[in-house]
Amino acid sequence: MQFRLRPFDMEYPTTAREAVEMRDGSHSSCFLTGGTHLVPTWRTAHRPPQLVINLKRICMWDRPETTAGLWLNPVTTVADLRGVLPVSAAFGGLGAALSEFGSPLVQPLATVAGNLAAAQSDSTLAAPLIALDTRIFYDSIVGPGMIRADDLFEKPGLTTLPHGALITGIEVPAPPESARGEHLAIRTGLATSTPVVAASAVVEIDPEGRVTGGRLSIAHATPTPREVWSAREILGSGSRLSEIAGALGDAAVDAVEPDDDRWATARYRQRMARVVTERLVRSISHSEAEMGAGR
Amino acid sequence: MKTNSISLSVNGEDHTLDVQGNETLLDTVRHALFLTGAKMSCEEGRCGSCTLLVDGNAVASCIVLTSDLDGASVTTIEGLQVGGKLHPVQEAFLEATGLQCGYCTPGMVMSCVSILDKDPTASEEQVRTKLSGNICRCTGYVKILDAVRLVQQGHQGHQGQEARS
Repeated sequence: MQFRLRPFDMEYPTTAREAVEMRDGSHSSCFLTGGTHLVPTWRTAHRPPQLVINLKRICMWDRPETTAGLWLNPVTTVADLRGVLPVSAAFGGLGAALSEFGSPLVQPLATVAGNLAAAQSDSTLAAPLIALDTRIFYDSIVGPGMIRADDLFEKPGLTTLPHGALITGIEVPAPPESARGEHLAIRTGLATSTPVVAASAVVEIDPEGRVTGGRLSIAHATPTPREVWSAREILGSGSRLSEIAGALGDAAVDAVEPDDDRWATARYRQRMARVVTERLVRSISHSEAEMGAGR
Repeated sequence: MKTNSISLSVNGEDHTLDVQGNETLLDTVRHALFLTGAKMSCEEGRCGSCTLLVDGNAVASCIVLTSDLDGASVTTIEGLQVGGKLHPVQEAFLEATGLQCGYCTPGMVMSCVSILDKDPTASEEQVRTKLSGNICRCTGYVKILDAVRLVQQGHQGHQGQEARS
């Protein structure tokens, strides 16, 4: 075998509290849900921890529910979420990101919580979840807590969760009925390659077609996915989408701070931040016009 | 290192296995059960050459830990034939010459079986999307899509015969 995983112990706690206590009692441990990110990582760059705490047998977590919004448990997979995602224009961005997640062979395994906890700049689901103002609930040895998705990422590979904290749930609030969402990524190579830049937006549009609020988030061109804060004011200006596309593109360019890497230069990524944002706005504008025509 | 005892049904045969935490499903089928049809390649879930069916879902077995699969039902390429008769998808791959070097073929066949089991009338676009996790470096995709079409035509023909009888 080329890269057989180095040995580790696997424990299966039956409650979240037991999992948190196991983690606290071990110097070299980590939580495992899907493993699609961790297993390849352990094969190559990093040694696995001595103890892997597998969360799949914690039975108090139910399947995702669709109430006012979405409640996801830590072992909700991408395929699970695709199966229950409400057919709603506001969740359109999340739906688009889910469909391009990894490959069909990975989607039944990979979890939403794992994708966020990996805290990589190419975390596919982070941008749409930030745009939807998602909240992450966690438990830790010092007690439970909540953090907004936009505040989750400290730097690549590191979250702002307390040490040893376990994500216990992800709440995606239901956006207003007037909201429209979209997610777009720009790639330079294969459809399966890592995007150069990706953007998500949720935009609230009144019956006259004026934008009354919303969020724009961006990923891949920043060290970690993030909300474009200056876009909030632009999206609350009461203008038409077509009138603010350029301003949103400028805001996206100002928000990114890319480095040169083997896939793209920093300058190219910065230019693409504008391109992807303007395309995103056009796409929402187009779908709103179509829906308006249908009303 | 500790081991976990799990029950696994592989190609309809029940097994009780003591597995270490670091053992992947691909390790188990190839090195413990000697079912070497599934191939090892990228080892990070990107190429699909190790595709197996777990409870009917096609998954990349190189990133699935076996200890997670207690009670699961696994199908490998060796389990597709019944009484020495190849599965219709395997027959169609032969008929359409849907293989060149053959390394990706077991994974391709398993993904096609899963796709057609779930949606026998999937459009070519849907099949292309659902096969996007399986890579053929000989780039023989056209013949593979031909094979899927052959199976679908056979299925429709079979349904037509049933309707007529």
